[in-house]
Amino acid sequence: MSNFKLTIDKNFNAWLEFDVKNKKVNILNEESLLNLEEKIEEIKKNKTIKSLIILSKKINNFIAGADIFEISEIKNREEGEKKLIYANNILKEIENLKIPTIAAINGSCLGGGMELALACNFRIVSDNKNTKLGQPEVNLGLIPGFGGTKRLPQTIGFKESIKMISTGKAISGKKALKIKLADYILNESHFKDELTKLLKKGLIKKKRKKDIIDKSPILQNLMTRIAIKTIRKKTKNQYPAPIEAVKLIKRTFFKSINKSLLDEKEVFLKLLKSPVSKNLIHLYMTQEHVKKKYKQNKDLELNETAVIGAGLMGSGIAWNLSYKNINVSLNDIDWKNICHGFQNINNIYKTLKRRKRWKQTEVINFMHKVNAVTNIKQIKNNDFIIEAVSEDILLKKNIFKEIEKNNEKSIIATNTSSLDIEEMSKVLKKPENFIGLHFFSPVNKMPLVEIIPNSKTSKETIEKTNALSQKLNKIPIIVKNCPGFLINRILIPYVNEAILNLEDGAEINEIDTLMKKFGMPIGPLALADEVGIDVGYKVAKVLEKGYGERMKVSKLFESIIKDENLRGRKSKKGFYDYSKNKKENNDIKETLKKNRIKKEHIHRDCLDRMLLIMVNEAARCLEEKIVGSPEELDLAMIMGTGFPPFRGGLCRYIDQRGIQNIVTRLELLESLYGIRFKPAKYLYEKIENESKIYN
Amino acid sequence: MNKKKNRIAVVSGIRTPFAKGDGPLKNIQADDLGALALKALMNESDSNKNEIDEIIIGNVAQPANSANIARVIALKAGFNKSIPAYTVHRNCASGMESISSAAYKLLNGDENKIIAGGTESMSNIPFLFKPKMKKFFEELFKAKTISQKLNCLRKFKLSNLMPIIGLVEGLTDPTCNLIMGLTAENIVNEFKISREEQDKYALESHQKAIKSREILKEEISPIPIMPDYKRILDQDHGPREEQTLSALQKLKPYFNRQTGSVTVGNACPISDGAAMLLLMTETEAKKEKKEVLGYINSFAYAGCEPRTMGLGPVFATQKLFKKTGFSINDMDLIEMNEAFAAQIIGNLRAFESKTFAKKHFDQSMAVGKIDEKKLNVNGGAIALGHPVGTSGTRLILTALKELKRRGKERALATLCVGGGQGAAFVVESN
Repeated sequence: MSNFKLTIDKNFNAWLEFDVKNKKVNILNEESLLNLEEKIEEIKKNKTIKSLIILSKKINNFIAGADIFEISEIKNREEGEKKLIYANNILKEIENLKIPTIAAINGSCLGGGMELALACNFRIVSDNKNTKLGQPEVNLGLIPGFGGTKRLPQTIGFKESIKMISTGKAISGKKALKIKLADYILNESHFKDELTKLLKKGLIKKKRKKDIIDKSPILQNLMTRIAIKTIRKKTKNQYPAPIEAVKLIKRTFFKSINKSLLDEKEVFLKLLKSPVSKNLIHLYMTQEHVKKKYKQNKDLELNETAVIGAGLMGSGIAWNLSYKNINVSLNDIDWKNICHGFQNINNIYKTLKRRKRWKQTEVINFMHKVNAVTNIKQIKNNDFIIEAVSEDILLKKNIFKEIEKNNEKSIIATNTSSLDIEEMSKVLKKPENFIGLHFFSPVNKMPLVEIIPNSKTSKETIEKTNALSQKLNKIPIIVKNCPGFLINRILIPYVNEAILNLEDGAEINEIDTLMKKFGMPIGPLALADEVGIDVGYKVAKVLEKGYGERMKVSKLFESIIKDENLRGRKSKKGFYDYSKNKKENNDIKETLKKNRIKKEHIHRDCLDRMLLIMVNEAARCLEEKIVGSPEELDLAMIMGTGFPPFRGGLCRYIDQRGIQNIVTRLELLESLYGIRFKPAKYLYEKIENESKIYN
Repeated sequence: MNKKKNRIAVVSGIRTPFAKGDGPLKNIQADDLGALALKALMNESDSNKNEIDEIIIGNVAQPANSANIARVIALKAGFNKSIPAYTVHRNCASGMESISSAAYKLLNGDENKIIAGGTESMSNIPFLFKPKMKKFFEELFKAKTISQKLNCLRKFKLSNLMPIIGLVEGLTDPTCNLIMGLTAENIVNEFKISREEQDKYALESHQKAIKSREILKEEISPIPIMPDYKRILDQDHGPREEQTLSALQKLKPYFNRQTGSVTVGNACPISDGAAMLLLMTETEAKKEKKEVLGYINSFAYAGCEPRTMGLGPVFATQKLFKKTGFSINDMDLIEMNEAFAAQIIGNLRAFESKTFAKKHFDQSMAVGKIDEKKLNVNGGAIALGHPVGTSGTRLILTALKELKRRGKERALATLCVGGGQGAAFVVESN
């Protein structure tokens, strides 16, 4: 059975319908390309055919692109080159057909799919909100490889094509029409009928008029330089693909198609070889793996939800619920706190209003989803309650007892970063409905949540919590109950190690710059300031209590916490001074100068100390099965801490550097700095079995 | 009607704080106020939103941006789309009309639980363009060529820009062409009410309201003030602690500037606010073992002379008493809406006047002398405010809460209606 079905109607229009078996979306894998080639041959032979329409049988999808799994399996340059040439030849065949060719796009049209559409004479889109056109290859560290860098600029001009290809962002059908990427837009519900009518009437090509940039190499030069500068700034120069894409478009803009395709192929193959692309593709597969594992079939039905505690976290969570149009009662003990909570929520909406050009009425409608409640007894008949009061286990326990009375059927989730879920579950009559749900701050920006069941949590509760998390556009990772759960257990030792580095003679800026160069969005000391030094300290103490010697809080951390003016950004002073422009806090430097004895090798070991302390703890988490798989661990680190995506995750980093290398280094660090670097058993086991973390 | 009949149970009730026009609630539209009150009501009550069968809201100004405001309120308050809602209008009695409409549906067995209430944002009643200006706009939009446009623009007169003030229009009776304040002046003349009497009454209203600040909080749900949520309003904004008789006496008559005596000080202010009640029949409420605020025994509406619309309460109460057999002595409390001090005083005189009864009702007995100690014990609209569509609901809520507090049985809640009507409700605590 072919993935393509060809029918010729009475008006001699050939309808080529794409429908990849056993998949929700169409992809241009080896089989599809082969089938497509056969059909094009057939069409070429049939001289009666007057036009060719390529369309999809899938709902909301035209073509999702090339097969990323196949790309990841490419072993060497020759294999890659062969595949590229093969696909490009088919597209050329389509382009060279003597009859009008039409891509009928009702749904997402991305990557290779977009390039196929570009090889047609006409692109007809629908007004379906799922109709999105784009070249997202840069997200995988690649560029379009089926002629997209040539045909897209030819169609929509220099400026728009640079924007689309270098950002990887897809555009709507309406926008496509506006920039002349599409020739017609049709009503989604009558797409095929309208298309037939249009064919009868005859299609007219209204070619886009070239603008001044398309004609002037000087302006193109200028624009290229500006674009590259912007990209460098945005990606901190860690992602080569968008820059290569812009350069390529510039270089081939006035060249012939054949020469351009050769250039495109070279750049594509070069990028395909790069570790960034390899890691991003790996990350994509990781995401797919996790997505599949956490997939929900049932739709979660929620009438009423509640959030207890209107602080920064509570109001953030209430915002998230309201933004998904879920009724949420926000409870706090007094109206002043509620008022602050409402202000926080409103501020998030104000930003959204500006960005999305909403009217004020839209903000008001969302705000109405939040219901203010000061009397906790009025928190009743809910389906889902998230408690987010301050980290005080007694207070939390009392709240659970109180709300359990009037919310018999509700799931009760606690948002905690460090308290023991098992211990808390003991006060509930129905621990099966109780679960930990750890959001990260600020809730509106951080995409991760940790789900922490207790030993009695029911499967249904876990499933519903997973479903709610996804409804809130969060990526949930289920982790076992342990001090710090997954993220803080790995992240706090890293921050602590940064402070130890500082004690041992490294500079504040040096430490943060090292980690930023590694790819972290923000250095560990700046991170401590952002989170709040007191908040971090609290968790660090929990970890010290839970894991003993290896998580001992550094002396410097202990002395900083005594100074109430040093709380990080919120008190305007922490490791940095925020009173005017952000700069190193000289007071801390002065205190340090008096006490510290600069250790040897400090600059050499600084980076590895921070990295390997994380690596070692991650290995322990895998060993203790705190998290289900390295895929989940890597995704959690990327989404929860901003661990650089181009490195593919912490486990991926271990595999790439080599476990033996890491263990050797850890052993050395242990001898120099103490037992906390003693390599985890898990790492030795892997060496013994000669396996990697990812099999 | 006798006591054995099925009454309407008021299961729970709540209102927003009331604020004077252009006061702290000026940026909250009537539908948003209503939604806030409705959410607060659901917090108070132990029922789920999905148990509610219908939502009926009274509103006078009917803002252009929310046609059928009841439906807008229900959806904004997070009610399921399947729950119907409609808006009622009986001018100042709209907040009672919603309750009586609900009562018929409940007693008929059509529905089990209905929310009835009222909402009004008099701060947000818009200014309108005159017909001349409208015509000018229409011609301008129709004009195609530049010369046509210029021609049209030439016809523009500055006087066209003078707006029609929606609020004034709404408060003016189109049949007798009197603004409400002048109907109060008519009562002043009919009953020969002095300026001093009016000012004294107004002062007392403020004093009572100030004294009852904490008591009134029992019926108020505080609201975070939109659009910035910088602070919470948790009490009525109208009552003035520093109000004095001499200050009141200094005010100029507002409606009849030369010879009148009704001032902004002895009349109720323009106001914003909303109130909501959850209603069931008594039998159903008892079946579900609901703790209730109280019951609505009976109600009546009556028409009267639009020129003295303020006398509505005496007309409606007479009709209600005749219908039910109650007398004024059966009432432990009386909540009579204070549109104007003069109008309250006029009613007090009419209630006790045999001549008035003879003339208007052809009965020898007076409707009944009102004991002023029972009247508006927590202050009235002069101090608290009179959001027109809301006051009817507020009177019933306040009366029921006060009956409970005093351990008393029965109250009369009555109000006058612009256009010449009165409304009267008998409510009971047990």
